[in-house]
Amino acid sequence: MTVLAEPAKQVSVKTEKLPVNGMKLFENHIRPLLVRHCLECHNEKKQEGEIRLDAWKYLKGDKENDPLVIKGSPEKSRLFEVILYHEDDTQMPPKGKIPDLAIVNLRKWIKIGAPWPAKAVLHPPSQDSLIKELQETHWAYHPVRNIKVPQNKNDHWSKTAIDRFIFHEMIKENLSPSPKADRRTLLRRVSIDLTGLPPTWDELQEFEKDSSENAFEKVVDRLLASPGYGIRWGRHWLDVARYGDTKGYVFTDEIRYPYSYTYRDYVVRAMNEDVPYNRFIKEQIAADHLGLPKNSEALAALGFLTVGNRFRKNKHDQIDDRIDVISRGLMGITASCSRCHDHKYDPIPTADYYSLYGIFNSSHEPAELPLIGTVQEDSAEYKAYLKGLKKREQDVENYRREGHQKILSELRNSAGDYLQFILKEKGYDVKNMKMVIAETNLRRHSINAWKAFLKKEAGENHPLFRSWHRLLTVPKESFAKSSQKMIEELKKENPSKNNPLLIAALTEKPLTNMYEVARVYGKLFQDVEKKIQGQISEPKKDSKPAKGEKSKTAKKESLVDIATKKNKVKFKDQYEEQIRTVLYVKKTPINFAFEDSARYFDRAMNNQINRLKKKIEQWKLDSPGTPPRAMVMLDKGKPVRQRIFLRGKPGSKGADVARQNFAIVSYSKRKPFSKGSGRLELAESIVDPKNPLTVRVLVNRVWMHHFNKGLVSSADDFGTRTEEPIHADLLDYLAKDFIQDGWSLKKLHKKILLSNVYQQASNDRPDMREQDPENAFFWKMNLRRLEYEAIRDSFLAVSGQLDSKTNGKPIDFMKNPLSKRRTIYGFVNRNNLPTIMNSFDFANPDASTSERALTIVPQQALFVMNSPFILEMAKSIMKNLGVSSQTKPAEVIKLLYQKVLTRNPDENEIQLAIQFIENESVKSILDDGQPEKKSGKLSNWERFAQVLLLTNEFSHVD
Amino acid sequence: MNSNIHSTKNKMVFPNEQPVIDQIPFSRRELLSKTGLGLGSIALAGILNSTGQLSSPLEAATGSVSPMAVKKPHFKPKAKHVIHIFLNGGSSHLDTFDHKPILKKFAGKELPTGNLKTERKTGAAFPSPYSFKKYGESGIEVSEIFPEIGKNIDDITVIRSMHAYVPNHEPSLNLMNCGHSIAVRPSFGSWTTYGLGTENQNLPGFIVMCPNGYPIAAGKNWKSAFLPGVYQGTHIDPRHKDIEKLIENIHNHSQTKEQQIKQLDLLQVLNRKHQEKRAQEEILEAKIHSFELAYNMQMEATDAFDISKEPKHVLEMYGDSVQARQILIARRLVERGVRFIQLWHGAGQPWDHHDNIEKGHRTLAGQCDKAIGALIQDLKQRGLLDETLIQIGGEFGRTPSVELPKVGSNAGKINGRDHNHWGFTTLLCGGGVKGGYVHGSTDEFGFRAVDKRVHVHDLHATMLKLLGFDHEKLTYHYSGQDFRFTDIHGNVVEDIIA
Repeated sequence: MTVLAEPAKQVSVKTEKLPVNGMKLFENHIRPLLVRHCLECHNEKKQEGEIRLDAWKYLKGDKENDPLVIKGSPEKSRLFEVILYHEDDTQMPPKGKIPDLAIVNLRKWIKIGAPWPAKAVLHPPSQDSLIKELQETHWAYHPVRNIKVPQNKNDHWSKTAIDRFIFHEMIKENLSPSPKADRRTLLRRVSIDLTGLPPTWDELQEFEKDSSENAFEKVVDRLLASPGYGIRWGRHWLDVARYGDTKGYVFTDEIRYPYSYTYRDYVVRAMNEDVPYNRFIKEQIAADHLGLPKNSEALAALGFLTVGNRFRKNKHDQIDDRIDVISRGLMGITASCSRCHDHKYDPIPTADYYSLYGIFNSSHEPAELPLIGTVQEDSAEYKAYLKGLKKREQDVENYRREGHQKILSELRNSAGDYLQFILKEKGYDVKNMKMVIAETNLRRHSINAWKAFLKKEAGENHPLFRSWHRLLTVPKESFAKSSQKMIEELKKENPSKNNPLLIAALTEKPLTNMYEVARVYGKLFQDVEKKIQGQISEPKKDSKPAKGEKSKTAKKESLVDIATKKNKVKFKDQYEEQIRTVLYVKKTPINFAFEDSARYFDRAMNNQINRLKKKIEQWKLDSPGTPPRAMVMLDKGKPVRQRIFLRGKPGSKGADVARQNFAIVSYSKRKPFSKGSGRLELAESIVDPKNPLTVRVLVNRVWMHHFNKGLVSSADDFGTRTEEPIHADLLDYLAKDFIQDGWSLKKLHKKILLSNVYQQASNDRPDMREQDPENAFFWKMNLRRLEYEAIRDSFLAVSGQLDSKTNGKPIDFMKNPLSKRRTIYGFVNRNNLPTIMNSFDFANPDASTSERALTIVPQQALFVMNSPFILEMAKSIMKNLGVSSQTKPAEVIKLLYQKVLTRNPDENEIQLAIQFIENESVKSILDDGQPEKKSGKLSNWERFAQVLLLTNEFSHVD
Repeated sequence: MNSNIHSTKNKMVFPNEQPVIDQIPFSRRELLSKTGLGLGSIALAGILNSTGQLSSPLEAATGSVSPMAVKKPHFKPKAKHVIHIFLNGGSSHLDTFDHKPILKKFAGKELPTGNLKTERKTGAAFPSPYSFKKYGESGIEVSEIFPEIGKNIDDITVIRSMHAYVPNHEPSLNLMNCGHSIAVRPSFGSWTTYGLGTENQNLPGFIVMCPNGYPIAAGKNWKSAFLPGVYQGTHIDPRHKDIEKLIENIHNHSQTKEQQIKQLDLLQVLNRKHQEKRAQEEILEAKIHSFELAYNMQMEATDAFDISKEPKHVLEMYGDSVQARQILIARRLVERGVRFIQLWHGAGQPWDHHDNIEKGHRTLAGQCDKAIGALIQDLKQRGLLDETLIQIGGEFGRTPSVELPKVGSNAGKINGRDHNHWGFTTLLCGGGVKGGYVHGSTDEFGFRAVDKRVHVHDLHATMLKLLGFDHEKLTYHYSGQDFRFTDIHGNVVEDIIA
């Protein structure tokens, strides 16, 4: 407030004529200030507190309204009072006090007489201008800056550019860096960091022996080149990609994805091959547009879009999920609120949300997914797969064909019911209605087909239905009499006009109402159908093969077989043939082609088809020979015209929107996407070096995983509510550098790992902690707990049990015998995540996660204390230790420490261990290196080994 | 960051993070170092805990707040525990607590008001096959199939004007459990434990029991979604009598308890040594303590789920069935301070009687009625009913009109009811709600809630209030938004609060 105490510059306040500099002040400062901070709520359309600030007449007030501005007297002007943010007064604008400089300007402006151009009317800020302004003012929306590495005085610590940035901020706060961690700590840190596995004793020996300058660099290179790197960092990426092996609740469908693992394997491979990040993103959004070879494994990258929850097969929610993974996962934009309304805090209008929506709405997932890699066609497994597949597909086909025939036969026998139903709808008195099939069991589609048929094909001139139409014209009241007359008339017509068999049936007995006519029709069709049936059964009686054989073939004969025979039947009599044509030949409501049968199927039949189809899916999942496929997304033939869904409701359509990326990140000219769905263009605009968010978000996450703390406080929200980080310069430097390095993650890792910041010890320093308890300035390394995957993998590694096989279908870790594969290959059942994964804070597979929660709960302890898994680990450590009953206890203890904790025990630790082993009532057992086998009890040595596995030292990294 | 590292990553929004008991006589760590005790002292912590001196041993040990530590809500709560007895599949309000004798008059005829659109086609009016009787001083009518609940009606609020969004199971389950029809959101139990923590650190704070497997949509009904995984419900199949099948890894067969204590004693010595140079890292202390908690849990959980420890008269009061088992276990859990217990009637959707409702509803009610009545009596006798909020009901009700047969969906029995989200009944009991009170009503035929309508969101807002929360202020910041259980809805129904 000191600024305000200065007297305003001398300006004439008397003059009625607007001074030129006053206009300038208005245009340059006051108008933007009002527009930006006030007009949103005080404009032509909206007047919070009945106050308008869009034209001078409202500011100056009138008889009914107090003035808001009193020329020359800022202190008496209400407008000025409220912006001062006095504690006991109204505080405007509500979002926060405006900058002091703006207050000074407003004061100055009122002081000089509040000049306002005669006809100027202000309008609330447009979305465009807000976006432009935020691109200027919000650190994360601002283009990435070129930052020079700071030159610090007396900096004897920094080795790399990163160090200089960190040191630069540290000295400002009188903080100092920590000394370098010892080699064992460093090796353990970097090994787990890059591969999720602890180092071996031998690796430590090698590192400690290496006195060369670049010994640590060699380690980093080795680890970056190891397959474990992709497994570790691929898993970080899978968190972002909300990877899961199931679909969420999808009614009675198979819940497992048969090919989700191909995406997981793609990610691991891409990480290991250091596919440039811009390419990596493009493949995941638009691999189908990159001209890849037909069966390229990179097509599996599209799983990024498709491995999410299927949200009860709700398309809108699937697209919403894809927008979220793209916006929050890749750019730190929280866009989901814009599905229903413009974002409250960030510049994401609803229109932008639907711009992205249009892209995914113009894409689809093909029914037949492309194969990837080369199929081993000669392998027995593949052949078995094909055979099994064919059988199951045939089952579906057979069921459909049978179903088709079943319905046909039903329809052939129920024409009377359908015709009666039509009469009911026409208002004929229902008391005469006599249905065989319950009304609710009539097939909706057949009813409609009947109606259409009678209107079009079977009109007044149809030899079978002419009578129907004529009789419909007979008055209901005098039906008995008049119908007789009508039939007489019809009889007289040329037989070619009216089928004589029908006429005969109609005249069999007197008709009293129209429903009877319908039933006559029904019976006529039934009779002909019976006759056909009779003809095909006859030959059976004639031929008399061996008894057993006959019943066998008779049994086997399917509806389809019978139908084939029936279809061959022909009548000599032309009138019978006429009826048969309606039943069997022409497209009629009674006879329809197999291709059209889906719409006739009822719920039970569809359920059965789904059950059979599910068996195909299950076969693909369970057959060992199933070849891998990519879960691709392709463009629809024609992009969809996308409209805004008002309040998020697909039913209420708003304005059209173009397919394009968010305005806020579009620094390169924003023009509607035009290539197909626009996915490739979307991907390109995400990895456009001018996109201010993508690289900042990525670099921050890499930093976060190395330091257990990001440079930016929230890893997936870089919106206006996230403050500019302390190390904004470093973030921008790293971002630029990353692009210059060809978007290489491995180079970025190496730069970070070789810095002194990374190599600091993690020891507490109370003096530093007092000043910076959160370690915001990185004056030490942060301690961290191993995540679910790292802890399980570490158990396996130190017990010598780790199965290093990579890739392939997900494995159920809960099943016996317990799998020893790396945890990334475990089955991620998003429908029912196992308790163990939940209690170890596994990433929520239903939404993109960049930072996992970290909780400590007793269930974790129970797992490591009691689970069959851990007990097996303890046993196998002893088994693989290479010791015998001759080995001295101290030596065994030493070996165990080396194995589990990659260090030697101290004297005290050896003593504690010996006490533990010997003080036990159960006798120490170490029989030729073989632990006690009987009854599943652990030997004391095994129990001791388990203790080491349970230590905090093992489950945490310094 | 490290200061709150084990209470999730600084996203908690609490009005008050103070532990309930402000003064802790001495810190856990002090205790350990002073007495030089190893795991033996765990027992001591347990005693302190059960006598109420330590609200949370973890707090005492670390001076920091565990994600499950007891937390104070916005205002003084009336209810401290929730038991949700879920009649899943959708019990019929018309055959239980919303008597519509007029349906008899229209039996076999179309309702003059016409049928509302539900999942399937329904036909003529279908009167309840059961008789109803007035119970208690309040004289509220209850169907013959729930006589034991009837006897307790003076302790129950009958909300007859419930309504939801759609007549389908899965979205309605999601709504009833997670406050949203479609989106993946945390369940009620997750929100409750997130907001209140739990009183017994030796047991999970949110326990879900479902005999014979899972209801429709399984774990989705008790998920924590974006809340930390610790708040997710622990699913238990009460069909099992063996504790090991109830809670994963609860026992260790490879050694004796005494041996395990020795093992953990050594572990803690090694951990303390490791901690010396890292004294400021609270996560390490929390971790050390979690082993003690886990050890205690082995005892406590075994005990909590072992109903054979109940006296004979109590066992007889509840009856001998899997429903009785789980309802009695629920009481034992409430006694032990478990925050939220959800009891499903069974796997799938047992109450979904599109056909044969007369027989079906009678059978299911017969399975749980006695035990529910016993639960209310039992809690009352123990002085726990006032602080335990019991919710009884399904995800929706059923139609007053009969469901018509349809090819492939039912066999044309014409003796069941379709789903009805337009109007249904939910019972609340204890935990600060009125007794012997009927709130709202459906139309004269029981199709649609008309008077004092209570949406599921309103029910949630009200229950949260009973638990001490302003439902608009219990939020979690995630993905750029402050989420709450009632989404953007919910009005507290003050009328039902005693």
